Amino acid sequence: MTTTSLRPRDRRRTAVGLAQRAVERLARRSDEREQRRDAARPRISRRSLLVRSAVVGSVLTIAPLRWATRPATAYSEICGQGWRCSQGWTAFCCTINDGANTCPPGSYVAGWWKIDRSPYCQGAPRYIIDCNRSPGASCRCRCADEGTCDQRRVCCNNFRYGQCNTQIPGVTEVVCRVVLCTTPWSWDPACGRTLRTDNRTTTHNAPCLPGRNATAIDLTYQELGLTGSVLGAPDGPERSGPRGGTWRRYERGVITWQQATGAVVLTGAVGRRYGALEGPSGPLGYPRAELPDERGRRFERGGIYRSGSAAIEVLGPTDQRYHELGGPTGVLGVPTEATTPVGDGRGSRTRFAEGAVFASGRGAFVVAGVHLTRYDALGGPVDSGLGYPLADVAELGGDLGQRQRFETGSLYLGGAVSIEVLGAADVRYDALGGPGGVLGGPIQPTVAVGGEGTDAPAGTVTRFVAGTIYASRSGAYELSGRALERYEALGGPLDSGLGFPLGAADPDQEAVQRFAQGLLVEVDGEVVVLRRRIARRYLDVGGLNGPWGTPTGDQARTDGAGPDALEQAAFTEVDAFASRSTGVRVLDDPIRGAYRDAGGPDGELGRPTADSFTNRSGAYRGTFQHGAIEVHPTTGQVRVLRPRPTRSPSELTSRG
Amino acid sequence: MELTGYGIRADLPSGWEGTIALDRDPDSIELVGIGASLQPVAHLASFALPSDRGDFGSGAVDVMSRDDVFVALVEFAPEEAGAALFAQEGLPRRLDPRAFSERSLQRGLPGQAGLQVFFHEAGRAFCLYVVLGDADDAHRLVRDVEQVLATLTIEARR
Repeated sequence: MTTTSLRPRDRRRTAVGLAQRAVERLARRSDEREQRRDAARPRISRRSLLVRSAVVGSVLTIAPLRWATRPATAYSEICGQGWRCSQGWTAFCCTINDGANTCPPGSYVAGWWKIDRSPYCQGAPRYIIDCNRSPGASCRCRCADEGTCDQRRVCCNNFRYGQCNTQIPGVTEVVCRVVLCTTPWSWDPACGRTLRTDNRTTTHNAPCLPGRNATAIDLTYQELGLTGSVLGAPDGPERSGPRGGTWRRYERGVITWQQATGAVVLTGAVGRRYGALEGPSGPLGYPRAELPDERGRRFERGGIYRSGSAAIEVLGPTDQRYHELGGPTGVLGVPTEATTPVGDGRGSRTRFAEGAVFASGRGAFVVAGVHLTRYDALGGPVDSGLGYPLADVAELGGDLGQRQRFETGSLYLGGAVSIEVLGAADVRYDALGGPGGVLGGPIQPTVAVGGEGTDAPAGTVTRFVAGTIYASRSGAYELSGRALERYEALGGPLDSGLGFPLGAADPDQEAVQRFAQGLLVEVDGEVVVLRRRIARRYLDVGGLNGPWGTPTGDQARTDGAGPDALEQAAFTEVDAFASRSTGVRVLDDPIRGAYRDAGGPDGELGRPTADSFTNRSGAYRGTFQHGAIEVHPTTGQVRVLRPRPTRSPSELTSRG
Repeated sequence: MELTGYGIRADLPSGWEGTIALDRDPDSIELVGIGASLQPVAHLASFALPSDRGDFGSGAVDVMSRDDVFVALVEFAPEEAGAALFAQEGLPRRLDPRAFSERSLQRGLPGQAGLQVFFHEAGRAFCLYVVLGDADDAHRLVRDVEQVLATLTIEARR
């Protein structure tokens, strides 16, 4: 024996299939009875039969079992009692008005009645509004289109309920009926409030109206006029939204519903855009409680604003900032480009008529005017070297211009130009007081020098009115005045041989500026260069405050350019010599003078091999590659000692 | 049988019955709380009135015979008394049978004819709605209605 298990979906389909067959049988019998009873009525057309089949299908989705066991027509299940034209009631407007739950042209709202505890209004009163023929208009008494079960009469019953538009005298035919679940006087102020009731019409309905299982969104749409509303026709079924809410998209808008707020209708360009963004399931979330104005609407996580005929979304913290700045009537004007993620995934950009907002984890800030032009030209958050803004632009007061801080730099307004100062240079500039400090405003943006692809160390140069900041891995330091002129004349960080500064001018020795490969020392208005080992040694012994005194000229290379070249620098108190083979040697007076007299490094003695010193007998002594110099402490007699060819240096003898 | 209520009084002939009532449904009471106006409705009929009736007689007109008549006197909020719709002064006590029409019905039922008259009286706004069971016997049935209308009085509301 073979058994077949059905999945739940299959079972449901089978149950419906059985029910459908049963209903079709019952409906057929019922229709046959109806046909016999109303033999005088015209035969049902093929089209009508097809429509009936469709209605049966609708019924099956509502109450298949009820319909499988109760002999009644599918039509009365959908359209209620008295659905036939011959039964004397008037048709619903949506049946004859292209689905619109509104009074058709040539009719006016003439009166209404209520139905208590209506299943079509979630148990609340339901209101039936009569649309009567307008005086002067014409209409023909007829039955509604037989393509629906609402085949009731149109423009036949010359009757008036009388609560609405009582300035219009007389009674005309009821063209059709509008349905509401809200009070008629709140729907149309032309309606009075005198209650009239007819609970005999409780079951009256039409396929174009919400059924017994109507949702709040269905009823809101009904109140607006269904397809005759500003929303147009539905564009898909009602869908679940976040946190138990629901929403539905229409041709020209959206209706959302939440327990806390009820139904909210969004129409026009804003509504269409909201629908395109997947309503509350999209990035905006649900509409906020505050009323919209014609310029836009705010949501849980953003806003949609009108911009010409378009509607543009502004998302997240950017919208909060935009709102704080006055929204569409504020400084930014209307949005021109929606909020879009920036390539690095850390933030977003939103453009407005008068600027842009860049948002990141550090906040959402406005960049506008020349700063925005510059920021864009540099490549924005990803490529500008500035990162995201940390603040809106700030006026610095006086004629100092503006500053806008970013994650890794700032934009300054210099004249009418926005100039970027990046990285460590900006930190240093800020510490020096920015445009109001010693350097004044920037005159050229930060530019990168050296680094990859070059022999020079990587760094940046930023020029200001009164100086330049050089930044490298070792820090950012400013040069100004003659030191700057000399440094630049020497070739700056790339070509001076000094490299980047290692510090600002020493606060204790204002005339000394350290570099990676040397010093600049300002002496009597002249800037002297000291390099490498001599420079280091000079600083080690105290620089300007040490025993060497002040340098009297640039350090010079005196003995070739090879690997053992000799560097030499003269100071007020010493001469310093440096080479790879002899190290840094310092000669003070009187040895310095005697050495100079003996021809210095170019003489027979060669390079110094030790600092000058005073020996045990009190004589001053200097030793060199090829000899020594001794100076008597009291007589000042100078002796140049030369080594004997076969003797050790300890057997040196006097030559003069 | 004398019928009185809400400043409306009528003497009904033998075989007639009627009510003068306000809608006391909880839904209506709740709506009054938000500004709705509750006004009385008088139903006078030459037949036994069913309990479940609409203000303009639905439920009742369905069961009336060709010999029967149904009269509804439906009041509106007093501020409507000056409106154009209610411009006619006084309850019409004489009715023209020719004014009745099979189309002047809230619900067109075979054989029936109706007439609707809006008027004001004693500072009050009303609609008189009359349904005849047999449009072809309008003259006789209208006389029955006029007999009742002759007894109908409307007092100013206090």
